Amino acid sequence: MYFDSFAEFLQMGNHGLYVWVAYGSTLLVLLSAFFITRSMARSGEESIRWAILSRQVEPKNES
Amino acid sequence: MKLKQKLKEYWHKLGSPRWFYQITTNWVTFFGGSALLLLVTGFVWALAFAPADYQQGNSFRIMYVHVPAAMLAQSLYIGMGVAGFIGLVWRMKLTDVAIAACLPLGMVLTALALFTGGVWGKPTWGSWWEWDGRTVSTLVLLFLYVGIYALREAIPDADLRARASALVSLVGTVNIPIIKYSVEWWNTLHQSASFSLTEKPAMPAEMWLPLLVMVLGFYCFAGHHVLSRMRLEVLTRESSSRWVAELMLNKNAVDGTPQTSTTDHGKG
Amino acid sequence: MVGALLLREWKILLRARASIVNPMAFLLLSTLLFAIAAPQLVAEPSQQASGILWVLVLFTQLLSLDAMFRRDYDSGTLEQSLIMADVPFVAVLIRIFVQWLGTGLVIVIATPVIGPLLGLSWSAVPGTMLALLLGTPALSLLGSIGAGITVGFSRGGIILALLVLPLFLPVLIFGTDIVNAAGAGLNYTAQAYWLALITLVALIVSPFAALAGLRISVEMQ
Repeated sequence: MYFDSFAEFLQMGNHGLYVWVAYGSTLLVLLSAFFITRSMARSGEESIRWAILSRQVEPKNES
Repeated sequence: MKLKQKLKEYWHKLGSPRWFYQITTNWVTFFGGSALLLLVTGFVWALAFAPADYQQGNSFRIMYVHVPAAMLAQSLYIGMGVAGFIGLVWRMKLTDVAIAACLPLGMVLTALALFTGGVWGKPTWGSWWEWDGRTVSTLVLLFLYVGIYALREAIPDADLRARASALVSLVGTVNIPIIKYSVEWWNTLHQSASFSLTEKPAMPAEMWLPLLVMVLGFYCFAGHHVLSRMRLEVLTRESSSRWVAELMLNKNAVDGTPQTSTTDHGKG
Repeated sequence: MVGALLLREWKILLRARASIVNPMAFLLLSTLLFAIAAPQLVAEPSQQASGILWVLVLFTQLLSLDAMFRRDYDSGTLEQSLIMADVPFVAVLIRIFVQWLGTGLVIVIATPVIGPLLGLSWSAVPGTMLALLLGTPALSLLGSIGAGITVGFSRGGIILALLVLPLFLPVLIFGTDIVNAAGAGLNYTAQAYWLALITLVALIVSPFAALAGLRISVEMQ
């Protein structure tokens, strides 16, 4: 650990705001990219499943 | 002779959507897991354990997110160019999905690199924006991305959109070295690149090791991102085929499985 | 065959006098606008003249790009005149060359008039003409890629600018550097070689890419 206390860690030697804004924005970009892709994948798979189910009218496939 | 045959077989398989989907099942898990591990390690290491720069102080830590974002942004553009080349020459349609996946991520990362560069520059050099070589190169990269984005928005037909964006990203990739060199000529007063894979970095190991972890984490993240999108596209395109039907219906409900990529392993 | 094709394109260019007159009118008009908006910039010879001149040249080229394939596209003859030509590469290259004759070359010839109007010193005029002579072909060549791809769009202007202007950047950098060096009485051989190299690369890459773009545009029709 480079810092002696948690307050020092937050303060980053008076550069705290800059460092945290930079890291925050990076985290925001990465997380939103991840969640957008994941929700796309989920809704995409869901609609594919519905399309397949609606094509197959046999009751055994509806489980 | 045998090797050549093997390679040829491999190449033909690459065009098969089903084979692509199956082989990437493990890759996507690997990239996702590695990205999570590396990025968490990297963030903690860079923020709390890496030493501060003796001149710049703690604002130096911004480098650990700025440099990977800029590197990945540029790599993604080159990746688009390579995908475009493959798409144009071998008429492989899957490459357009790769371009479509790289494009928004690369665009946002370029903007992020410019933003974090400004946030780093303010406390370190006293200004949010400097018209120096690397800022200009990155800004041009952003406009290269925006150009393809605008082009894609303007073409409704999927096949033509794919070919147009493949062509433009290929032309852009060919031009990137020329643009970079001319911008360097324009301003030779900028900071030299602090990290590259070929040269030994001037930083001490305790400073560049976390950077390496971050860079690898970013690249794994991109690998996961692009592959996931490509896999979804394969499923959508092949949704009328039997293997997709079997795969989708045998799978557990998606919301019940947090790690979707491990459950859809090689069905059908 | 090349000669006949060249002659035909040249005749078409001359018949449509607007394709030569309009870019020049635009260039002179924007020179006037600059002189009005920033009289202190153009009052006496200054370093800024190189930048202003080159940016105006870039915009002039950009605006005239749309006309490069427009006539053929609108009349539906694009396919037979360029794509299905005996040697499509040469046909497209000639089209680009003729477009350059109407814009780039005219700009080069007009430099002794426009340059000083923008505050360019007389000693810099020969260097400026050389820079424009070496650089404007690259603008036509690189621009043809964007023009080929966007000719099918009803409102392609802004997309064309977004696609093409980043590619123009190296020409702008070396071009202004030559003008500045010429104004300061310095040697600019290295920059001239670089500019020539950029034009050469553009010459090799652009006709193929423009042709590919035109093929896409034709299918869009």
